[in-house]
Amino acid sequence: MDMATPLPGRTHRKPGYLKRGDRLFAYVILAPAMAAFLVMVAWPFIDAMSMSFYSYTVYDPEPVFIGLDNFRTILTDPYVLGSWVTTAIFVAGTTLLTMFLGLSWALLMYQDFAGRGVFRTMTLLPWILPSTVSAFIWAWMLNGRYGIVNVLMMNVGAIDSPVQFLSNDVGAMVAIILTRTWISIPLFMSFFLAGLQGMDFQQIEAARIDGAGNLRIVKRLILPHLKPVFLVTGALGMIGNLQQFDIIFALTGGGPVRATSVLSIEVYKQAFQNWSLGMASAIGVLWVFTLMPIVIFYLRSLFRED
Amino acid sequence: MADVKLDHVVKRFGQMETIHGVDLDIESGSFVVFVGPSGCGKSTLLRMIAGLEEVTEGDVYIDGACVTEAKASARGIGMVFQSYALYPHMSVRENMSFGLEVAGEPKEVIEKRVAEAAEILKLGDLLDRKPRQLSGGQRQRVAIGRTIVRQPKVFLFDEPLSNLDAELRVQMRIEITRLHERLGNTMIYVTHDQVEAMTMADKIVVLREGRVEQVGTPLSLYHAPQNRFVAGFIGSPKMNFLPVTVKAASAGSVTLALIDGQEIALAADGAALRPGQKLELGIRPEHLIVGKGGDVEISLHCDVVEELGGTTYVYGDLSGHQVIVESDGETTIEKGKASLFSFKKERVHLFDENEQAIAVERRVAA
Repeated sequence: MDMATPLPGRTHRKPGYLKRGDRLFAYVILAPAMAAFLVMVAWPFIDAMSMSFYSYTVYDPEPVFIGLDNFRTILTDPYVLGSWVTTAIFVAGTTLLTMFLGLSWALLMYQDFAGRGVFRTMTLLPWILPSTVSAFIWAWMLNGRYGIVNVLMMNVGAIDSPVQFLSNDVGAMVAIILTRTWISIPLFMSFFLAGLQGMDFQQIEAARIDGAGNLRIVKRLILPHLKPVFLVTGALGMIGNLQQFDIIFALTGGGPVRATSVLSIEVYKQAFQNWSLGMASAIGVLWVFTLMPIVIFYLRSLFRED
Repeated sequence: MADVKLDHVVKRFGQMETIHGVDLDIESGSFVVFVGPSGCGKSTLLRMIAGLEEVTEGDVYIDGACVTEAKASARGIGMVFQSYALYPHMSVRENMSFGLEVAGEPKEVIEKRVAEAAEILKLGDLLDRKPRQLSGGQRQRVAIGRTIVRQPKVFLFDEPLSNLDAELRVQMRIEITRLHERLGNTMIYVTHDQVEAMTMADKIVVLREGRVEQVGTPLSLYHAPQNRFVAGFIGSPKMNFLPVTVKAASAGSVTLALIDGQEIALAADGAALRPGQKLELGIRPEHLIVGKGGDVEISLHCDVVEELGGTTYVYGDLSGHQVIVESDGETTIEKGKASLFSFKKERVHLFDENEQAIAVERRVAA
């Protein structure tokens, strides 16, 4: 073999590498998006990060550099730390309930029955309503004096007298979980339904001939088939629920006392009720680090080649 | 082994009736093929036997027992699907074991049966692979293996070879035929491919628009089709049909005028025919002879000649009607010119206005 002859493939560029002219063109078309990212995302984030090292309240005419004091305060303040626990309860409760109900509803909508199209369309209703409107609808339904939930529960004998759901710790948490779940079900159902429709229905028929019942088919065939959908919806659900603000603010405002004061509410309170921008930024930074592992997991799942 | 009986089976989807009262007896141990064009109801009929589709009217019997209302798993059938329908996240071994696990069979029994099926289908080295790591032919063998381990009384195949390439299809066709000889079970096989039907079946059921057109052995369907549809469907290339007019008819003979004007006399049952009646004459491409040698000679203007080596197809025109001739590879026909062809009267088929066959005396064994 002629040693001067390049080996096959040696002369080729690695995939993803561009020629010089192409690279310049790539930067030009990338520039608007990069500029928007820098102004709208990167700069506010860096500014907030730097602010977390300052004390900046209504009493401080200028931000005062205090190093890691804000973080020390957060990590020693049981009330602020409690927000992480509240957030964890809200995120876990909402994500799990939404996944369970979203999958159940998708399984129902996957069945062949008259009016399926109408039902599927109606399912999207909570998704297209503004979330604050949904929150007020639920607040009204859960109202202690004239809410329909109280009426129904009293009619079936579950309670003897009306309950002020939004005025007690557990009731308020259940209310925000239910409301957020109700709004999220359409999106989750769509993911699961898309996953189900990608399944070869003959697999289910083969299992029926093999003698498998509904539960076994769900456990042994449908759930393994939907594993990638679970990973993506789980990650997306957790990210969305960790960022949740409007429903909780409209429904409970973080109360009663601090029962539903999740991180987003805590940042809002620190920034716009206590006017402590440094502390709000520090909570925000820790909040981002809480989100980070889930985001990384989600992006890895999304771009994994197989 | 078990026999299968369909007693006036009807299927309706809403208002639309797709199977119109099918009666059928399938003998125990036979290999029966349902064949017909797309939408003829052959898969629906198979799925009704399997219990995957509800029977609107009529009854299905397997091994003498009425199974019309029985679950698919309780009918003693095994089914191989066109898409293979393997469970993608399970290994070959797990795919094959699944049905036995569901049935609660002991582990030793499951292992023994999987090993036996793997040996029959040469899947021994592939047992730990996932379906995505297998070729199309291997996947189809696993699908068959999954059915074998359950030891069903009746095997059902729903176009199992449609997703395979031509070469593999021939190979798998032979493997399934061998499997039937080895196991001896009743097998019902659905296909739209008449070559598969002819080569594999003991008995063929030809379906059209939800009705059984004819049931018989492959050669009886080829030699004595009961109507124009079966005559056209069985055989490749399909039978040539030429319009003819009855000149004279009696109980034992019919004189016909061909479209080129010549008259031919056939020994056929003409008792119900009358002069002037329009009929169709059918002649298979392989029964047309290049040059003289037959009883009737026709001149075709040949526009296309396909030389495949062993076989030559000639596309000719007889007074505006296309006629296909199948000849051996030695034939030399000049394109764009008229050439002489002939056929023997005993090879001819006749069909009336209702597309039903008129008996023609032939010396060929049916």
